[in-house]
Amino acid sequence: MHMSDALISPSVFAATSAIAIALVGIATRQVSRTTRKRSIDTPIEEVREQRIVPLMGVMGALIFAAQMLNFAIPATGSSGHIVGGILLAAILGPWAGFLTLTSVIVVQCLLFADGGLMALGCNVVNMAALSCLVAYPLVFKPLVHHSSSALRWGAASIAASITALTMGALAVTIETEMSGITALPYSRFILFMLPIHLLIGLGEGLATAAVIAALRRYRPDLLHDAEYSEPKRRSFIFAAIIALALIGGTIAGSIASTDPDGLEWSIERTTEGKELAQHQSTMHQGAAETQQTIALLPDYNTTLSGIIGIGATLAVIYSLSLLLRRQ
Amino acid sequence: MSHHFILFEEIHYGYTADNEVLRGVNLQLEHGEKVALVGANGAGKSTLLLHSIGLLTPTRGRVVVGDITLSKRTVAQIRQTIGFVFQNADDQLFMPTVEEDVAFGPTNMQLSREEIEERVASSLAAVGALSLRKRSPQQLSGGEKRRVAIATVLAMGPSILVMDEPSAALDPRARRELIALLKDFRHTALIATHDLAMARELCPRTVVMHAGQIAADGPTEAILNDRALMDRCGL
Amino acid sequence: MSEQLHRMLARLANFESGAIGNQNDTRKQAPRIDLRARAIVSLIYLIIMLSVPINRLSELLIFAAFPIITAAQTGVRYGCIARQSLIALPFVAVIGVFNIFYNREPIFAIGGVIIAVGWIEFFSIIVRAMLSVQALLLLVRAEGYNALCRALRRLGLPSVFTTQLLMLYRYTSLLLEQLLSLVRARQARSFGRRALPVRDWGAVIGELTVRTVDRSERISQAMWARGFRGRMPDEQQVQRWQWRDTIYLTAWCLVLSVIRFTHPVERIVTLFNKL
Repeated sequence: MHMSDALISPSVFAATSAIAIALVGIATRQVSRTTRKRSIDTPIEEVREQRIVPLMGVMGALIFAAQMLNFAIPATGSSGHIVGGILLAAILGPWAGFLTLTSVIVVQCLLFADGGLMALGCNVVNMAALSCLVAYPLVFKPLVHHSSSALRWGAASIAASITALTMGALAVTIETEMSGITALPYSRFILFMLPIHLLIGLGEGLATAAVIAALRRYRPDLLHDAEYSEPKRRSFIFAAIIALALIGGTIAGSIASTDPDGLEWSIERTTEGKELAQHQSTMHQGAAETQQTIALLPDYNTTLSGIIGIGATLAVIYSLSLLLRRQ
Repeated sequence: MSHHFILFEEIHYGYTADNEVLRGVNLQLEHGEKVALVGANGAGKSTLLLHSIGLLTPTRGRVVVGDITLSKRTVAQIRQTIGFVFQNADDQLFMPTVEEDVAFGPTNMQLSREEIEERVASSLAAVGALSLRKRSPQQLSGGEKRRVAIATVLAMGPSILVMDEPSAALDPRARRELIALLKDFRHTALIATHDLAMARELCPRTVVMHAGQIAADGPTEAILNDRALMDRCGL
Repeated sequence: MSEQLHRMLARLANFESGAIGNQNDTRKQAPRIDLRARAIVSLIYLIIMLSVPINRLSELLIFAAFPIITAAQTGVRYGCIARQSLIALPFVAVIGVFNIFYNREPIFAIGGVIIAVGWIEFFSIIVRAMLSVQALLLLVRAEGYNALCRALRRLGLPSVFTTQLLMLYRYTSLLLEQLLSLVRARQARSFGRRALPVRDWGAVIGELTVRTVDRSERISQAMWARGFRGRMPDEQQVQRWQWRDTIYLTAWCLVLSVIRFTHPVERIVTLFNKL
């Protein structure tokens, strides 16, 4: 699910970062509004909202730790780890959950280079925003309320997780396609990503459901109180439709994928055609043009000798740096 | 009129009337007195301590610190008078470095930068942890964490120290060092502990809690030698 | 499974303090570049490096100079960083491989073997991935994770968020240790299955969640006992932005844009070919 810097173009970086920064800004304001809503004199137990600072901190650490522990995905023989968006939103509420999951993604990016700095915006949007700010309020919340049966909580977790993961996968393919780094055709990519993420979403949903079941047994008060009022009938239907559409669409798509040509959408055709044309122009007739713009595509010798030359130069720089360090 | 004492008056605390954690606790500490609070798990020691700085509010009864009755309006003032050392140092050290953690309290008190700097240095020096100031709490040993946790509280300039199990989970040497450190303090102190040997060394007076009430209160030696009492209170 | 947790604990401890911090003991402290300047330069580096078209491998390779030089400057072993940057590769390679299949136009031949554009693009993707990871790792390694978070705060990130980043890191290793003990207790009773069944996993994480929330309540209490009023204090002593930081920033911007926009490689190579 993590996107990598290597597959992202600067324009996609700019767009997704802008979205991510804006969302973090809004979330920050939402969260600090609850922490400021206090009087200094009130004893701590009376101001639940103000516990949010350490609660977010340790819940982030919890998700981080939980991701280290794999669970077996039923019937597949493989194992996976949780993303945790729905779980965090269910405990902290959507905005604090979003901020917490974002912080987890940032730490993974900074410490373990999962994804990368340029891909950070993409990853925040794909994983944190789509699960906490879209799937949670649109699918999870309308489906459950305090007196719902355990089965229904489980079903809501699974529906919301699958929604979050497939939407995330969809976003990954769109961002990758718009970056234009990979030559992988969009339709293939999407047909490869969606079914896999449907399964991953199922695993995520089961895992989320299992934790929520444990919480409901021992500490029902921890599930973001008050939020789960009686759901409105309309939003319930809406949530069900979203979840069903995504799941159904993915399944239909993967069945259709046995005949990939039948599913080539017109959009892909046009973009793909353009790309191809571009390549041909640069490759075959492009020699003259490129010379004018200071060798947009260097001639073949230049490329090879360039690579060798740079390699040698870097080796020299590297050994110099080694020498410098010894002193 | 000294500020240096705490009075717990007829403290009741509990979610329901028939299942109270504290059932009418009366306790008074005089200026400069060091008192050990002992009792089995669940006797209500920690709950009582949390009342001293208004982290819990009694369902009945009142807490007086110095001349001030604890209330919503006075709680901020009282939290500067009483330094509270929590049982688990990891919960108390939440900032990325020792230095920042010690500065946390003084900064919240809105002191000047020089004053904060001065307090950080002096309180770390007081617990012999000045060399740890740039370190992160994660890297510290149990004994070091405990000493830094005490420094974070000293930095707020309290006149009373309230401690929950200060010697728990320390190795023997760290424990001895801690006891030596606490012996030098002149603060009025209320120390909840299972460590009876430490109580004997540090505190002339001991209070025994049992089932949410004070079971005994007197000179440490006399109380710890009362086998029948100790047995009855699960010690 | 518990080995994985152990390894993670060890790795986390690595980021505690930075490479520059560690030097203090052995040699006299060199003037250090403000971390904010480093962060901005790293970001500009990434943008410029990733904007190089992917059929221009030679041009991309020059950009390796930045991590190599930065490593030397901050006293990190470049080999170590380079090795760590390999971890990002599998996924990138899987996606990159398609370029080999789809772009088969020949570009040059080595000893009769014809190399296609797709191969150049494939290697470009790999190099891009490695370089961006290296730049990031070096940024964190320079002064450590906590210092970087403070620099981000001073670059204008909201304090709620930087506090979150710091607390997350502060408590991750503690929670990993707790998790480790929970898992061990369970493994002692099971027969070494690799991944936990979902139901057991949920029970373990559910229990950890309950303990974690309890911990957060105790932390709240500790914060309030020390006069916390809903706003985390900012850092007291701050390093001022100095001339050398401005110079560092402008110098790298200049160098990077020259490399990117004047195509020095081709110029030199064409020059050689003419001679």
